[in-house]
Amino acid sequence: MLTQREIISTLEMLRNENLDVRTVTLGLNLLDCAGSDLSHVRRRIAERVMRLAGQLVPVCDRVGQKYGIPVVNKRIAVSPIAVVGAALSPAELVELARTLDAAAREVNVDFIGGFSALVEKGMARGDRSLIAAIPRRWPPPNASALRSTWPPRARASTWMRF
Amino acid sequence: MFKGGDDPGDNIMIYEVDVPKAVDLQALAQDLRDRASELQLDISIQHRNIFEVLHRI
Repeated sequence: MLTQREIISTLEMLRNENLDVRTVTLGLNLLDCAGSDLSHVRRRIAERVMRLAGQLVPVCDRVGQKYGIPVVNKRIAVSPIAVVGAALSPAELVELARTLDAAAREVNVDFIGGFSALVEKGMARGDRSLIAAIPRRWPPPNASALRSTWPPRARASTWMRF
Repeated sequence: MFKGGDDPGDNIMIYEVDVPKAVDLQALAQDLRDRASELQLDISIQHRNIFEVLHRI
């Protein structure tokens, strides 16, 4: 039996302290989408995201509704794109970023992350290409990768990890 | 509508209800919110497990 104190304390957390589930992240391995043919890589990535993340938002919403605790952010984390697109040029990596953004919008998540390079132990060609791609613009035209890192102003943003 | 207690404008009524699995929770929650709004009340709907996991070991 729940006590009155327990119930009121929980309501205070919900009302005054914004008790919620801040983020649910779905991790997607894209390593087997790697390749040197841009259109092939884009198609495989888009298909992978749509297939595996298509139900992320509806499921989070359903769980939030069931428990009465909102899930504020739903996001996807993919394998570092510097690895997936190691064979691509900076311009092609920008196209890959567009693909990620479009897929994120399609499945309605708040973030998609992984347009990143793991450079703590040095940089390979793919890492350099990815960093060179960052200053280039992709839609929305006024948002750079670094600027869209935080917070989620746009529905789908590509965030970076360095 | 309950308006008793020492402060009639500041009361909490707590109900524990069983909701059949077949009920659409989203629709139920919306109906309850609409009704609460008509009565000028605030309503908060949570699963029992939320209260338990927050307070029981």
